[in-house]
Amino acid sequence: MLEIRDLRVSIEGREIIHIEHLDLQSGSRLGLVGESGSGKTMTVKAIAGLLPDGTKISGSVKFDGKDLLTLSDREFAKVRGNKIGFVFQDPARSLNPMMRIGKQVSEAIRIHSDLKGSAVTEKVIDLLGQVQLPDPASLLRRYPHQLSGGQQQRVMIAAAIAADPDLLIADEPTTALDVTVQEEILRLLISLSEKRNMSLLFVSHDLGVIRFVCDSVAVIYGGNIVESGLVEEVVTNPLHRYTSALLAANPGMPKDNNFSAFMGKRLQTITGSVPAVGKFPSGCRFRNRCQFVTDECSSVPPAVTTESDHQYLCWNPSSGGAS
Amino acid sequence: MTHEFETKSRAMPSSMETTQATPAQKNDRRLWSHLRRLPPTLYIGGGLVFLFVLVAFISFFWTPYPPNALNLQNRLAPPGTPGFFLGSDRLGRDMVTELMLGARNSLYVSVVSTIVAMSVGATIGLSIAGSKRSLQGPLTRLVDVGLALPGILTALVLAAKFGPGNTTATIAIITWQIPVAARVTIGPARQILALDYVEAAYSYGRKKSYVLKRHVLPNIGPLLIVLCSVMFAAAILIEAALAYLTVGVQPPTSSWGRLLNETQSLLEAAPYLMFFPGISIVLTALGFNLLGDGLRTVLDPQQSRSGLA
Repeated sequence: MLEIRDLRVSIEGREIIHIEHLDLQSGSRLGLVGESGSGKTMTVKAIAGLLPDGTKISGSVKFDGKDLLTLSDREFAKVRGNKIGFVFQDPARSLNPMMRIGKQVSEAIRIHSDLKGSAVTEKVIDLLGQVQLPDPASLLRRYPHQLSGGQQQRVMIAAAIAADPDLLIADEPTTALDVTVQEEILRLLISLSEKRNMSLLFVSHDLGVIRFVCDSVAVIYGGNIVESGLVEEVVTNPLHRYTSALLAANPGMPKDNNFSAFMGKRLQTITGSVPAVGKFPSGCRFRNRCQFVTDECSSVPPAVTTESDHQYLCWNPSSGGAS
Repeated sequence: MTHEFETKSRAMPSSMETTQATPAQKNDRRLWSHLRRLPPTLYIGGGLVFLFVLVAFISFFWTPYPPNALNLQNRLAPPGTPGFFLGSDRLGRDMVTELMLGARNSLYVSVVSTIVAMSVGATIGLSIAGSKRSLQGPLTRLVDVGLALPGILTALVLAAKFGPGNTTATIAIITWQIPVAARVTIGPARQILALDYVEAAYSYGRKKSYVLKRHVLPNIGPLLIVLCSVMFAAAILIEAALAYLTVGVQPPTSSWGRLLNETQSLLEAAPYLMFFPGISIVLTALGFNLLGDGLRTVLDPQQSRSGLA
C-alpha cells in the first residue's frame, strides 16, 4: 500500500535521507527504528508532506497507487488527515492549548467529510470512546491542560484516526509518557490497527517497543535503511552490525528476576554519536562507529543484500545471533 | 508571600470551614484570593481608564454647561469659582465641560484608530509570518521601513493634502500604528507556527490560512490585547499632539490638545488653565500604559503567578 522508492530528502543541498526501498502492506505494522538524528522523523514527515520550507525531496512515495510527491499542496491536504493520520511525539505540545478537545478531535472530520453539527459531535464522542477515554461526552468541552499526558495522547490518536485513515503514522508516540501509560497506548494502537485494518508506521528508538507492536521493522541509520525484514527475524538474527549493536545495547530483562547476574556487567554501547548531516564517512555510513570495519567498508557504500528473508546494507554482516 | 499563604490555607482547612462552606462560598473565596493577587498596576490603570471612558460617556448625556456655552462675565475664572469648578477659558467656557467633551473626542479617535490599525496590522503580521521563508525577511524589513516613518510628519503631510480635521488625525494615527501592530505580531506568530500543534493541524489536512486564523491568532491573543492597550495610550497622545499642532480636530469641537494650544497664549494671564488638559492627557495615557503592563503580567503565563492564563 505504501511503496517508497529512491526517496531522497535534502536540506540546503545536503542529503539527509536516502531510502531506496521500503514497503508497507495494507493492514500491517512497520516499525522504524534508529537513534536520535538518524532520520526517522524526517522520513515520516516526508511521507506525510510535513517537511519544513526549504527541503528538497525526490524519488517516489506511492500510496494506494498515487505518488504523493507529485501532488500539489492542495491535493496533498486532501490526503493528509483523511487517508494518512499522524500521531506526534509529545501530546502536550501537539494539542492547541486554546482549543477545546471536542473541536480538535473533529478537525479532520470537518475537513474531510460532509458531516455537520450533532453528527460530528456524535462521531467525536464515538472516537473518544474508541480510544478508551472514560466519559467522552464530558471531555468535549475540556481543554488539553485539564487532561493527563496519557489522556492527551489518546485524544491525539482520536484526532488522527477521526477521518478513518488507511495509514497511521506514529512518531515516537510514547516517548513523552511514563512507562505504565506507554504500554496502554501501545496496546491501543495495536488494537485500533487490527480493528480498522489500518496500517501503522511506527517510529521508535526502542527495538523492544517495536517488537511488541510491529510485524516488520526497518532499521535506519544516517538516513539509510540499513536493515529491514520481519521483526522476529531481524531481532533474532540481526545481520547488519548496527542492528546487532543496537540489540546488544539493550539491557533486556534478567531471567527469573535474577538481578545479581546483571550487577557488575558492563552494558555494551555504540561508541560516538551520529555524525552531523554532511559529515558521514565515505562508503558505509556506520563505518566510523563499527567494531567490525573491513577495507571494503571505507571505499564503496554497501549494496542491498537479501538473506534469510530480510534485506541489509553491510559488507561484513554478523553471521547470525546477537553477539 | 501571598502564594505561600494560599497553599497553607489550602493544606490545613479547619473542619468548621469544610463543613460549613457551600460551593458558592468557596468560589467566592477563590475569586477573592485571585483578585487580591492581581498586580496593582492593573487596578490603577484600569481605574484611570474606566474613569476616562465614564467621563466620555457621561458627556453624551450631561455636561455642566451645554457645549460651547459662552459666559462672558466669567472669563478666565480661576478654579474654584462658583459654577466653574476648574475655571473657564477666555470666552468664559467652563473647563469641566470642555474637558468632558475633549475626553469624548480622544476616546472616539483612539478607539477607531486602534481597532483599524490593530486589525489591519495584525493581518499583515500574520500573513508575513505565514509567508514563504524566503519572503519573510524582505517583507519584515518593509514593515521596518513603515516603522521608521515619523508619524507627526505623516500627519502634517496628510493635513496639508486633505485639510486638518478629526478624520485626517485618525488616518494619520492608523498609518502610524499599522507597522507597529504588524511588527509586534510577526515574531510571536512565527514562534507559534513552529509549534507541534500547528504541525498537527496540517496533519489533519488544514490549510495555512485556517491555521493562521484559528490556531495562531487565538494563541497570540493575549499579546494583542496588551498591544491594544499600549496603542490606545499612543493614540491618545498623538491625537492630543495633532490637535495641539492644529492639524487635528477643529474648533468648535473640544479636544485636550486644542485646549492646551488655546491656553498657551494665556500662560501669563491664567497659567492654571493649561494644567487641567495637560493632567488629563498624562493620566489617561498613564492609565492605558499601566493597564497594558498589568494585563501583560496577568496574561503572560511566564510572568504571572496568579495563573489567570
